[in-house]
Order: sequence, then structure tokens, then C-alpha cells
Amino acid sequence: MGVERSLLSGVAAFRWVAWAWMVTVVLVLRRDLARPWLAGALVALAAVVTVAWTALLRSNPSALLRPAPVVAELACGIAVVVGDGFAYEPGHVFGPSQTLGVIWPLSGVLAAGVILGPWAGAVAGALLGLARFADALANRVHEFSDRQILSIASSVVVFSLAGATVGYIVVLLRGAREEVAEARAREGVARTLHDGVLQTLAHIQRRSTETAIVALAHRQERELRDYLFRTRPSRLAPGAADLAARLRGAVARFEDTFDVSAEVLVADDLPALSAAQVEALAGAAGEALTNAGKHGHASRVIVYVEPENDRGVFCSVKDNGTGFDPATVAEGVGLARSVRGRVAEVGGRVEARSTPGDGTEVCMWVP
Amino acid sequence: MGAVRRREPIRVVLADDHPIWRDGVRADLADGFEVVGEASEAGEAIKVIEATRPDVVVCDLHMPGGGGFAVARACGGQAHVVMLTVSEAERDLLDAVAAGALGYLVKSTPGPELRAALERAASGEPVFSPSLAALVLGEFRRIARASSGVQPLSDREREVLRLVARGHTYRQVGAELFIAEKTVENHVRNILGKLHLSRKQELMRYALEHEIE
Repeated sequence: MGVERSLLSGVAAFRWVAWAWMVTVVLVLRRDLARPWLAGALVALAAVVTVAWTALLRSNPSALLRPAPVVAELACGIAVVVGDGFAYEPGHVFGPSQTLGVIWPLSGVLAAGVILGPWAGAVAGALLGLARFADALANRVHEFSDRQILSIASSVVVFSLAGATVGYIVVLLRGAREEVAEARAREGVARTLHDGVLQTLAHIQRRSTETAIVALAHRQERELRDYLFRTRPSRLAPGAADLAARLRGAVARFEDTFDVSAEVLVADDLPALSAAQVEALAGAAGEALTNAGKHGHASRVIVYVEPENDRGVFCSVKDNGTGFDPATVAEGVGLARSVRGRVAEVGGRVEARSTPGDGTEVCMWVP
Repeated sequence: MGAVRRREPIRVVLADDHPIWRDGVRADLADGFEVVGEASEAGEAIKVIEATRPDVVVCDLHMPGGGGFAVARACGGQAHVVMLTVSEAERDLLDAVAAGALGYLVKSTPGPELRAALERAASGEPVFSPSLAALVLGEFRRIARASSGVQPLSDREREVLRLVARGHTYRQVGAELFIAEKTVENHVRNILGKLHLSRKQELMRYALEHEIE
């Protein structure tokens, strides 16, 4: 309601200004009028609508968020545009002078955009533009020059654009507001959990000697942390969010299976990735993790992913285990087959580095 | 890594608004460390630090009185401040480091790792965990993009940061790049300096754009 309400207040102000302009035009150019009583009636109608909207906006704004008031106002707007033709001397419509029905009726289009969305705004604008045709007929114009047809057509385009734009702004603002609300909610939750659950979980891990309990606290902490502090998937490029999720899943399984702590660090500015690339990288990283768990005697593993030269991705899996000597060990058969095979399928390459006693690092590049 | 074995115990100030945490950390530090002061909020911590001049300050990021930020801003110049936190909110961590902290540790860090990190911090070495290195790298990539490709970091500094983010120790980074471990430390210190500077500039730019026009 917040976004719509503030925009509707803006439209209400517009209505008043437009109405004042209408009165000014009628008074100053009263000599052009063929039927002054009709002009007076149109001004009165506009005044009633203007007052009614302002009153409703103050007392019961949610009553405005339905089609009925929008349709009613638009109908009044069209009546003012068409009535304009009857009120003035014949031929006045396309003359150089101001007429009473040019600005005020636009408020109906704006309201339609705000309340019913961009499409309704566009349709309302087109209707109001077409009403100018009826306006001209009412003003006894029977033959239209190209210039006059173009003038009406341009009204149709401009009015419907105005309605659609306002509607689109509402959609954007609403999305922004929802994002802000979600971020605030998370912050609130994070603050609460910070002093409560996360502290407790961390405390258990530091003080408990029961490995099963420590592992459980660790897993809970990791899940909570992922929710609270990781970049929201919607902010990552398509595919990058999938990769991050897959890697976190792989690391969680790895920690549970091998009782080794591991961390996933994914840059939030990765390029978009295809499903095949995600599959290859996540699968290969999983294999590298398994390898570290089975053979490396590691106590800590880090999976790191960052963008490489704009469009590519670099991924490394590093452990602090025993490592191997590349010169003597026919580098882990499993590593060679599964990791290299998967990465090669998407045109990438793999490099495994290790020194005895200094851990192993598997580096992968995918273009 | 632990080459600098001191005779004297390392003098520590603990600042955390939860007494149970200070107890826990004190128990974990045990020998080799001496807790010379404790505080439960930022203002108190700053006073205790000025009075005791410790080798290292272990400080909760979120505390009453402005939290670890206030402590790092006030004392980051003279004291070695390490944030101990359960938070991993990106902006908090970058702000803490930019305010003058030597780095941060997550509260679930196991005892031996905590001791090793504090030993290094006591001698002024930045506590650069891989996750902090990754955050800082991302931040500098953003800065480079925002200023149309101008890189605030040198190639060498970027390379150091990438290796730390991938999980290499300073010794391993040195071996990989054929430079001394001390040189790696210097690079990391320079990177922190640049981060500090860029955060300051960003604040100034923001102030210019939004207030003085």
C-alpha cells in the first residue's frame, strides 16, 4: 500500500493543479465558449471527482485500490474531453487556443497506471486519446486533415505511454520495497540469532569434547550462516547461484563423511554459467573433495571460485593434508580420470599441484 | 609460522558483552597468553586498552557503545585489534578492517587456530582468513569496475590475495611467488592500507554526491 499511496497522493495533487488550470482557461477564454453553462458543468464535474478522490485517499485509501473508482474517473475524464467539443465554437478543437479539457482528464490515466498496472494505464491512455476524436466530431469537425489525424494519433501514443510508465514505476517501486523489507527482516533475524543461537552453537563447538555434538553444532551453524550471510541467489548471475548451491551441498556432505572442516568461497560477480558448466565444475570439485578426504589426511579444505578474464571461471580445491610428490606418484588415478574428464567436457583444463607435507591443490579453469 | 616464540606471555585484552565468551576465550588461550584486561562495551574497552597497552586486543564486532568498529577506529593505530565474531555480513567485516582492525576470526575457530592467529596478530601481522581475502578481492574488483578498469591493487598484490583466498599460508604464498614470507606480509599490509583508503574515498564521494551539491 505504501508505494501506491504516496503515488496516489501525487496524482491527487496533480488533479488539483489541473483543475485550477481548467478554471483559469475557462475564465480567461470565456469568449470562445459556445455553451458557457456546459463548460461550468464540466468544471463542476471535475471538481466533484477531484474532491471525492482527495477525501477517499485521506479516509479510506484501500477503497481506491479497485477498478471501480478508476473506471469512474476515466469515464468522467472522457466526458470532459468530449464535452469540451460541445462547449466551444465549431473548429476550436484544432485551433491555436487553449481548451478546458486537455490536462485534467490525464489524472484518470495516471490513476489507472498506479492502481491497475502498466497495461491498464496504457489502455486508459489510448481510450482518452481516442476520445479526442469524439471531441473533434462534437466540435463539428467533419473532415480531418493529415495533420489533425496525426495530432489525435500522437495523443493516443503519448497518453498510453504516460499510463504505462506510471504503472511500470509502481511495479519497480513495489519490487524495490519488497527487497528492502526482506533485507530488513533478515537483518532483524540475524541480530537476534547473533546473540542467541549462533553464539551458543559456536560455544558448543569450542567447549564440548563430544565429537558427535560438535559435528552437529557445526552443521547447524553452517546452515544458519548460509541463510544469514551468503549472497542472495537472485543477485548472482544465472547458473552461478546453482553452482554456489551445488558446491555448498558437496562441502556439507564432505564434512559429514570425512569429519574435516571445509569452506566454500564463491565470488558474487561470477559470469552466467550454462547447466553443463555448472554440472562439470560441481562434479569435478566434488571428486577433488573426495580425493582430499580419502587420501590427503587434511584437517581443512577450501573451495574457492572466482571470475577469470570476464567470461571464464576459476575454481580451486585446496587441502592442508599430506600431499604427494608429483614426480614419483602417478598422480591419483581417480583424480585424473574423473576431475579432468568432467572439466575437459566443457573445454576447461585442470592442474593438480602438490608437495609432500604441504597439501594438494586442484585448480580448474573453465572458459 | 610460530617461529616467533616469545618468552614473555602475550598480553591480551578481551572485549565482549557476554562474560561466558570471555571465560571461554580465556580458557582457550591458557599458557603463552596473559589476559591483562576485560571489557563488555566499546568505551570501556578503549579505556582498558589505553591503560594496559596490550600486545593484542580480541574484540567482539557487535557490542554496546559502537561495537568493535569504535574500538578499531580509536585504538587500531596503536593496538593490534582482532575481531572475534559470529557475523559474516560482508559490509561489517570490510568496515571493521577499514576501521583499523588487523582482521577477523569466526567465533567457532578451534582453540589451536585461535592461538596461532593471535600470536601472529600480536606481532602486527594481519589475520587474513581466506574468506576475508575473498571478500577484499571482490571489493577491489567492484572498485575497478566502478572506476572503469583502474586497478587500485598491483598485479603482485592481487596474486597474493588470490593465493590467500585459495587457502595458501603466507609461507606457501611466498614459495609460490618466489618471495620471502616477510614480503608477503608487507603486501598484505599494503592491501589493507589501500582498502582503508578506498573505503574512505567512497565515504567522501558519497557525502559529496548526497549532501554538498
